[in-house]
Amino acid sequence: MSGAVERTGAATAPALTLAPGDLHIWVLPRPWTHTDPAPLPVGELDDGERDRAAGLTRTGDRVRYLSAHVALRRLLSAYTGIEPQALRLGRDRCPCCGGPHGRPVLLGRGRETAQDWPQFSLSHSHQVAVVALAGATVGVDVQRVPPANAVRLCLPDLHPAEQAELAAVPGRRRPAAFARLWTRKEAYLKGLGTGLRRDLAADYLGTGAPGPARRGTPHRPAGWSVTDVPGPPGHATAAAVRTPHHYRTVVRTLTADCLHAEDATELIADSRARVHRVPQTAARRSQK
Amino acid sequence: MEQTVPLHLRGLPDPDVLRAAGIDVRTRIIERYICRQLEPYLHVPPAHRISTDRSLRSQGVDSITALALRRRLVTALGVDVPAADLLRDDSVTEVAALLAGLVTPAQDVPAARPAPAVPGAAPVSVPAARTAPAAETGHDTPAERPRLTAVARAVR
Repeated sequence: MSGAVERTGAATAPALTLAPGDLHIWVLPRPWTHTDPAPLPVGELDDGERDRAAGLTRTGDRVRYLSAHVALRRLLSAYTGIEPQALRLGRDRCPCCGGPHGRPVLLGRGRETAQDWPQFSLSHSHQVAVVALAGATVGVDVQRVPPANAVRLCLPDLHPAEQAELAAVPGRRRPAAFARLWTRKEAYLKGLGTGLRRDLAADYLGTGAPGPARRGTPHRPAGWSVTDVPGPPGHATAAAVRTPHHYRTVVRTLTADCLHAEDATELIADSRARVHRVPQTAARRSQK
Repeated sequence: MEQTVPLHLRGLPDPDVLRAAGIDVRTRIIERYICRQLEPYLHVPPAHRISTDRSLRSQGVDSITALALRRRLVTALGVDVPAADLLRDDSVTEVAALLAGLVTPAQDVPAARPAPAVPGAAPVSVPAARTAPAAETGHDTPAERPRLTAVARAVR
């Protein structure tokens, strides 16, 4: 964690903790529409988040953004014991240019470090918002399966081996395969903090297994564990963790009650988990 | 002198015609082209329009849509901006002005350069068989961005 959390809120013992090697994924599936749902506790957000939401043209986009950020703060609260509105969110430096648009981070008032706080990443698309938390640098991405035309236009920007893999997929299934690959790539780029500023062809995030049977298949980025995450139909989700010790992925669904309850910490802590263990061979392969 | 753009314009004019037009007209043509390209992706109702005063991101453009738009702009205009620049806070008009400033008869396409070194990132080995034009990184340096933004804003 690049900064410590400002402890001006009523700090309590965290309701949730991350074991070493854990990746926690929270999925918020909601039918965000063109009408406002029940009022959201937007008082928990900061001015920047409210301004950003107000600038969104479409009501559905605005409600999804607000819901995702309320969810993010409430989850971070459950993992830190700090009240949602007392958390200060900011941006790390961009590793490409040094500008203030790198990975989102928890900001502290001082320069003290707090290694025990979780790292996090947020993504939302169409009818899903996803929050990832880990003890190491993490990126997450969710993407609605795009139309075939958009896939065709985006394909030339990918790594040649990724292009070849997708070309081998029958046309009807190609958009879904592209969405899975794209979320792996964007999760990795978000983890790096570069986003789309990094050349999309520079890294291989395909599914080909290196080895004698697939001679020439490139390796995924070294030192990163990149995982497909099960989620709602019509969307793809993936997460990337910068760690050589990623043992398991815990996926939970965040219910609408967790957005609207006055104190959602207990609801969040009681959410049922689906656990996916990462095969050690896969973890080792990602380190090469 | 203010030049007019035909309202029935459905696509882009001949590249030579576009390049010969004044910067204001070029900006307006490209602005409309961007809006038309995005309408199907953003499911804009017939009675509504994409606002040229607002940013693409604020109107629902995500990373894949930005990348698809970038590809269309490369094909149609022969100029390139990084997809990341399409997702900044610049309005549609500012993006169009940026592109209009790059559409010149003596355009030099910048040579490709490798992705920047990023701590924690895998070493970059740009594939030789890449099929896309490699110019998308040509304008994405901190030193060049202010100049491009200045071009975009000067026309507004």
